[in-house]
Amino acid sequence: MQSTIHDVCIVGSGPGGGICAYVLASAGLKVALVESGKWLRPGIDYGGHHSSIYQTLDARLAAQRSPLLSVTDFSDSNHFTPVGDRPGHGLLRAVGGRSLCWAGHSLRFGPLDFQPWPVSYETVAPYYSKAERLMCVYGNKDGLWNMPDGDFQKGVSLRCAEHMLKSGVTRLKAQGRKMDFVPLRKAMPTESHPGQRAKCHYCGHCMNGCEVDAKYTSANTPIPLARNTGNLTLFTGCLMTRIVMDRTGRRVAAIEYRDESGSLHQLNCRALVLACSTIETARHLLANKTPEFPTGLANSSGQVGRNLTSHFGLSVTAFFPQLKNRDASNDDGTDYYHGLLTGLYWDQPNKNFAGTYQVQCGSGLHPSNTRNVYLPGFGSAFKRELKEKSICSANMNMQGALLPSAKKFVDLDPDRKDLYGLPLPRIHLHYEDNDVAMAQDMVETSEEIVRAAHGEILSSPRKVSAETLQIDYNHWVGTVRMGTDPNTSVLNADGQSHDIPNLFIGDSSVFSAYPEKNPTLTNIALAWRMSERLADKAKRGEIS
Amino acid sequence: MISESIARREFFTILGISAATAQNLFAQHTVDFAAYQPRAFTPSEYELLDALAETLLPADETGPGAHDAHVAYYIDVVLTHAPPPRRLSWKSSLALVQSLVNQRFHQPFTNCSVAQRQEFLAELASHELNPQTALDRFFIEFKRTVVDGFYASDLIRREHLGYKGNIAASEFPGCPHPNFEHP
Repeated sequence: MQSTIHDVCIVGSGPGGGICAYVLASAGLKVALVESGKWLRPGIDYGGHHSSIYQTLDARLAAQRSPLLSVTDFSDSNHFTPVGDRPGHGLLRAVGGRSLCWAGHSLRFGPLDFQPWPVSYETVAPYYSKAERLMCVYGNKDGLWNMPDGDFQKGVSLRCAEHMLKSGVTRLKAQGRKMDFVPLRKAMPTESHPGQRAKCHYCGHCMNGCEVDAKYTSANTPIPLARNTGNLTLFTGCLMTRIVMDRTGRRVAAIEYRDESGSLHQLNCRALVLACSTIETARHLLANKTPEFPTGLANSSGQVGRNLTSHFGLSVTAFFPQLKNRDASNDDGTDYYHGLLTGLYWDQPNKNFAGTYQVQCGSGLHPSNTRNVYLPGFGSAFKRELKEKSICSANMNMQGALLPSAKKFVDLDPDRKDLYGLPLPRIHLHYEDNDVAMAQDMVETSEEIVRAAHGEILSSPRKVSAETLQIDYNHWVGTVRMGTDPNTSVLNADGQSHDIPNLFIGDSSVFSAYPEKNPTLTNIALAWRMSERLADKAKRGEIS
Repeated sequence: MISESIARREFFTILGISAATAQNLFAQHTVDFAAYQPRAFTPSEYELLDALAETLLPADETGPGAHDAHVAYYIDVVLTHAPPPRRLSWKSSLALVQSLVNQRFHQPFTNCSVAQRQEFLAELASHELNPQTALDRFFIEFKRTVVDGFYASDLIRREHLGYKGNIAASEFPGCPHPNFEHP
């Protein structure tokens, strides 16, 4: 048992937890950061993906790994129960969590997106700026009203076939369609500045784990900065097993955790920040039932685990005959997608569905995508056509937000438990009419753009239905949402529990609503804001 | 751990300035293909796979083919680690292929002329868009695996596709064509 009382205990060191550690430690608070995984060293524990696939194929397949080297080798498996339409759940137990394997896409939510939230875009905007500067986000000043520009380093250019798609969008806009095609914005330095991470070297392996630490992760930026303050104690290989309440039953007093040897410890704290992921944070709250909170901690509203949503989509592959004679260039860049179709249904909602989507567009030869489609034939003619299609194709990966409903939620599996007896989470996903209608529009619009760009469709979903939709298992949000009404939300606008005043949430589970845009930048901006508010409350003596 | 990481970052920052130097860092590894003994397949099955793959993706004026890319090695490794029923299915399909070739040409596929090989493959491929039999389905799986192995080969990427990536570059030029007008 440890007698030390930390000002704040943070559980989970992913995108949200890492930034909380940095902001709170920088504010002078004594912080404990508890991570169930270990340090993974770029270029040592993961990386090496520049080597030949043939060289490592045998060993990787023997270890039941995919041929391509990736940090996701360290991901958990068999750690949740899927119910319904094939939900997945990415969980990477390591210092930095899933920031080690994210694509770096950093898009601000806009004023429209924040309308259902208890905070406005104007409130969050300063935190977006802070986050972008720390993360070294690159991008162009595009002037889009609902995906505002930020504090960017210089943007990265589009590839050949992405320019073709952009030309299709330009033609449709000339006919009155509301949409835009812009270069993506990602958290990788494109400029050299003293004291920042190494500049990106454009090898295209971002999602496999950047072996030179150019891509922003919690492990390479906020956690080392937090350590430098002298106020951070990092506990690795430590799995939280219980949240301990004080004698009143209405305030957190400590957490219990098991270390790598399985030994049980208690870590006392004045405030607790959960940043375990949308699924895991809900799981821990639901699993910790007390007399005061018989359905789980902070769950007087009954909303913990509800309002679950993620991104889902499909993909279309296009071929541009205009590019047949181009050379292969170097298309690696910053991984597969450099272009973004956006701005759909911001100004005028679609009549057939609520919400909207974006389309991430990539093209050309790439280490992880050199074969796009099945072509008939054999021999030299087949070989030539295969090469042509690989060099001249573009992939359109659609990303829309699921409409939350009573059919999408997280609860506890009554039968399956983890190593220490904690129930595993169940993820319930059932696609509904709105989701399918949006997907239908995704495909039709993408095909329309390809035709407007004078391209050909190489592959497209033959039939859009709940059976064909693909969930993004890294983009779950919403199970512990913020709101102004304690009867319909779990947290207030500061990310603080309505029920338990020294409990805060630092991951994407806090999202009140979900647009089409990627979640991580907003998670980091909100965690930054929450941490500043928590530090202010601590200084005013409102926490202890 | 952090100090190692920073040292490596600094190292690559320097490399980023000199892309040509950095390319040497990514020198390709080699497997000793000449000494390789197939594990999923017998030597004769391995030779048949190699010949079928070469007929599917031959060496020609556009560059090396499946044999030069060692696609048979790729297939053998993949099938070595595949579930036993899948491996058995491949072996029985190869036996059927050999039997059909013997019936038609009275010799093993590996002894057939290029024209005979192409004639046989044309028949195998004739139902690939509308597979009816187990052999039709095997051909599709075989073809996918050959293409996977072919494009996983560094030799093919460089010498056939003209792939110029997997290097440390100081800048990313994007589309290199003036005014995005493609030739």
